[in-house]
Amino acid sequence: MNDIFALLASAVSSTVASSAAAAVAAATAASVPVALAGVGGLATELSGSLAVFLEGFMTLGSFFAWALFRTTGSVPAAAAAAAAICGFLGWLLARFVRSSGANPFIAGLALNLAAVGTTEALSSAWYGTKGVLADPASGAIRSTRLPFILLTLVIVAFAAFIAKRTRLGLRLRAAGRAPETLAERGADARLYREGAWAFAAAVAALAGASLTFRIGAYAPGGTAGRGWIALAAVYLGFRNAWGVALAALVFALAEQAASFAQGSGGLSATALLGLPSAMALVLYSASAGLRSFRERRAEGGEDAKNRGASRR
Amino acid sequence: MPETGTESVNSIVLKNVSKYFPVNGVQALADAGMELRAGEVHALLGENGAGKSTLMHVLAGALEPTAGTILIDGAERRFRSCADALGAGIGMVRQHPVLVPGFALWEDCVLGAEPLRYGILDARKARERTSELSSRWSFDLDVDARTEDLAVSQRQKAAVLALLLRGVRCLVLDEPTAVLAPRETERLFDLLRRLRHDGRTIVLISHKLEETLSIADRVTVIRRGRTVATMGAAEARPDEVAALMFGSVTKLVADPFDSAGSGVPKEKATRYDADHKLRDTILKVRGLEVRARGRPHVRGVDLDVVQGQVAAIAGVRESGLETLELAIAGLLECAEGSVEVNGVRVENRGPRAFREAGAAYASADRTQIATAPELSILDNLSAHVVSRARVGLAGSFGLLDARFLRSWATGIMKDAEVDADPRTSAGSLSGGTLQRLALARELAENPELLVLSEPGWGLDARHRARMRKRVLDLARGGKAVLLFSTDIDELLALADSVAVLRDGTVAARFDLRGGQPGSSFRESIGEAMIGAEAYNEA
Amino acid sequence: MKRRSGWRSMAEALGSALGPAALGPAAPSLLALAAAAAAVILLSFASAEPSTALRAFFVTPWSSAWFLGNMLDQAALLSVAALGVAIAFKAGTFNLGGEGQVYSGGLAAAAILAGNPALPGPAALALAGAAAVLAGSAMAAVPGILKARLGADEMIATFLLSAAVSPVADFLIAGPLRDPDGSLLATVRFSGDRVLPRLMAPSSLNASLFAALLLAFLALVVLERGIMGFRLRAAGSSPSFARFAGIDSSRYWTPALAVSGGLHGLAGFFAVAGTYGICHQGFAGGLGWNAIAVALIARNSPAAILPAALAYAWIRAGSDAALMSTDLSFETASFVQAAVFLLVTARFFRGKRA
Repeated sequence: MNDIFALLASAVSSTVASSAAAAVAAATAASVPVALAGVGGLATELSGSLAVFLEGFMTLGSFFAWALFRTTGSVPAAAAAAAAICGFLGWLLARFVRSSGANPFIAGLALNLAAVGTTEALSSAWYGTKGVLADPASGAIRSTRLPFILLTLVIVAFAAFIAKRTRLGLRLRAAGRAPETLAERGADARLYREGAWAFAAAVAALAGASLTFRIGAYAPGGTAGRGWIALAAVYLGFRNAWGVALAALVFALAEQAASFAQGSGGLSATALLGLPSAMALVLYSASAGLRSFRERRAEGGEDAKNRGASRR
Repeated sequence: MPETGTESVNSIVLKNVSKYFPVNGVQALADAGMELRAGEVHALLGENGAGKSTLMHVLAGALEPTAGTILIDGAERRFRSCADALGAGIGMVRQHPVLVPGFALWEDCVLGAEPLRYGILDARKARERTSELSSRWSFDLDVDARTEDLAVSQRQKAAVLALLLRGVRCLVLDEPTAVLAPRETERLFDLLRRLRHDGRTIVLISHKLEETLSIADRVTVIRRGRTVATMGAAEARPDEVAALMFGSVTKLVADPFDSAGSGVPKEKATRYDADHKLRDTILKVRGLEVRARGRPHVRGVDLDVVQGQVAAIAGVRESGLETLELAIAGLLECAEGSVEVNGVRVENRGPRAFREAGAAYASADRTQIATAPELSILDNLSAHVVSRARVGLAGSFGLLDARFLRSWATGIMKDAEVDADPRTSAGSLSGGTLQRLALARELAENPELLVLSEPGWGLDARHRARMRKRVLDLARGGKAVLLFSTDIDELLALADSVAVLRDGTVAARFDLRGGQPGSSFRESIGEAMIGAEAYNEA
Repeated sequence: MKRRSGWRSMAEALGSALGPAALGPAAPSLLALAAAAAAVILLSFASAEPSTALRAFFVTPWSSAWFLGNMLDQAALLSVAALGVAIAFKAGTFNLGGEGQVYSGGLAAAAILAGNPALPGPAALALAGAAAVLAGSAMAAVPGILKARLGADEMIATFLLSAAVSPVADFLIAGPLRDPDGSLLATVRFSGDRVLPRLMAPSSLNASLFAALLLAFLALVVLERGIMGFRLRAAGSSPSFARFAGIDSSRYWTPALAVSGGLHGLAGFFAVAGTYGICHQGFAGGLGWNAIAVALIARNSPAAILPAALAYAWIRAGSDAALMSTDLSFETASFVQAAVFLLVTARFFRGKRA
């Protein structure tokens, strides 16, 4: 009798485990774009000038990766070239913001707008359509899921290492917290901000490329707001590269849960498109609340108003 | 000591330096110059706005001159940034050194000159080097301390340490003693002597004549952007130098409130009537305790301020002065204790209740608390009286009487001697101008208690004298004044009584109306500010 | 304090509100126009007939009742939404969820207008307007509460909420609220008495123009000359100064965001009940983002928002006309938009502004 129970128990648990494992594996793959873009966003946040153009460069990267794959036939070459182009554009934008004194948020928003227009324009010009671009030879593309996951892990580890242990990371963090002090010590904070923007643009483009190669086609609007969710991940990740990656994973799991609910509950797929954003909002608010709760406890019962007054 | 001569090896020379700021049309420097030698302490003296800081910013590479040359060991150099100047061995420590928040001390010190191993930051070596230098110069700093936890004098040391780590040959210190108690000043001067002995050049920017002359080898005086004199400190006479700084001998003598160099206040605020009428205690503070995150805490403070009196709270900045003044003015919550203005309890009721009880607060924080740079001057000056501008039918809809507000603001501007279009933004005004406006705004409402914080900061001699006279007049007219100051000269010139705050509690009280000579008060107050135990160190 | 007659002080307040402020901020609108013209010129060199493109850009929008009316109508919509953006900015908050607020406002209005057959026209319109304002308000007020209580950044929160709600709106329009007889992804067309009166047929210009004018005027008076407006602006400036002046900044965030969201919702109402007469999927079409551009051009000054909205609407109309008249195959509008954003936020001239 015990043996039968044991057998049943092991069967159930292994099924659960394997479907859980499958879910986690799927979520890991799905979290790649947000994780990549999030790390880029984190770099810009650390440098003191948060970039809101992640969505735009994801779109551009997604498109360029497609176009470059058509030309070169190689996934790594296409992804790398797309990242390089967008990285350069991100740097240009940062230079413009610096020379013109423009507001970095607005400039980022402008890029998001321009990205849509650019991809539409180029898509019409090169391929005669503004819609989905599919490639008959898409079989070659499907096998890129794992390499992108590995690439993401490498980039996240790399970013974490740089931030904590290198001179670059030290100066980057100083650029964000005390740019004048950094200038006094002989380094220009603006260089680090521009570098961070270039990095973020390049990495967001990689995120877009991963989307294209995951489904084997370029879909306009395929980024579906992930660039913005990446920003939420930056905040959720407590300014830490691994934290951002973890946050991205959490979002992806939420997405999985949503599509599972849709499958069994009959909710429309359209309506659930908004679920990642809703999740992001809930989690972000929760983390903000947690942070302020912890701060309030550390103050030992003083009024929160005391935080509002300034320091000389 | 090397002879005076033309540009030679081992010297730093600034020649014919001009600096024009097109943004506000100010000619900060016009034909200024300075010659620095190895192994000397060179003082740069001048009144506020004379151009001392500007000239040194040029030397340190933070500003590029409109004209002029910099010669390092005879060779002409151009400093496009602080990095260039640091490369030439010149570094500057600001008056309020800013360290990178969230960093450990060693991280901040090596920033910009980090030791590397295989291209990566060598944290171990960085900590070692910092620690070693710190003990070599007797700084006594914990290299792993968080920068936010450091006291002001420690921040200064950290900034100097950062420069020493890079082996600078010339250190420029901008008003370093403004934030130090007398004992710490002595320690700083010891350090400067050692650095001088080590062959380095020190430039000391200061407006404190006597103390600066005691340490300097040579003195350069700047006035209105021009170098007016350079002389050896030994043969410099204080009154002569002061005359060079301010431009006329008569002006100095005629200012009875400037106790610089004399130590004896010439006039006192209150003239106590022979029949000694009973005067009301306008401000009563009992057992005040304030615990605010990120600020020095304050405990067990008792204060009384009487009509017609100037009471002062002295201390080094980190001892809780700002905390106390914000708590009294209603901007910080008090954990315990009471604050009574005119018999009305105002603690924990906010700044409006404080004002309505008949008090006013002129903060030293011009661009954050006292004014809002993005709003117009008119908006800034209207802040307290907007509710009064709701009159008539329009007022019941919430509309304000624009003419009333405009005339109110114009009146305040006239009082503060500020000539500008009220519709422009307050951010276009200088700090000193904002200070005058803010003070005038507070006084416009005729408060019975005036809480003043560092009123002399950023004011030039003329406006400072005028401010002091105003304060004394107010007290004579029956107002109660509570003055918070770190400047002993200001305290001695204005206060009737001084309570010294140290580590958040009142460490000593002094009655300045007595017959004791001013200079011994200076020592006693200074002593109390840093604690007698420290003073008794060998 | 002298007492003066209520009417006189009110008239004075209104008079001074419209004073010099209106002229100064026109300069950025001219800049935006120049930027757009430059963009068009550049793009038209890609086509064979640049002069046609230029003529189309500058002249066509004014050339007939249809063009002019549509341009003015767009300007009205933009003004209302841009006022919302500006008010949020003045209080120190950034409302990035305008797009979703416009959408949900329009949808709420459409829900009222498409159903309830017993309700008379004007009442239905009024109710729909109120519903739109409520919907938009709620969508912005929630992030405001999150900011005040939890310290959550409202820029992200408003955006995320908008991004979460828009697909739901899409779903509702394509599903439960969809017109079963029509072929569009839209609700039923509203009946004749449930549409705002037209002003310049055959264009879509309607009574919302008057509403826009009135709202801009009210905003100006309240913000610059009202006590609540003063407190709001103080709250949006330095928080320490506000505190010192006796104003608790956090108390103004939620109301300001609520008003901002309400204005966006109202713009949505004007769009479905005025411009289109129907609520189709995605009708907002970037109104939220364009409103941010307009508010930027106007430097958040209520007096400058109408001219800025007109300039911006001209840019859009001109770009579309230029596109139609030449052989360009792609949309130039988003490039022009992006160019305007960048050029307007860049500080090529340094001016003092209050």
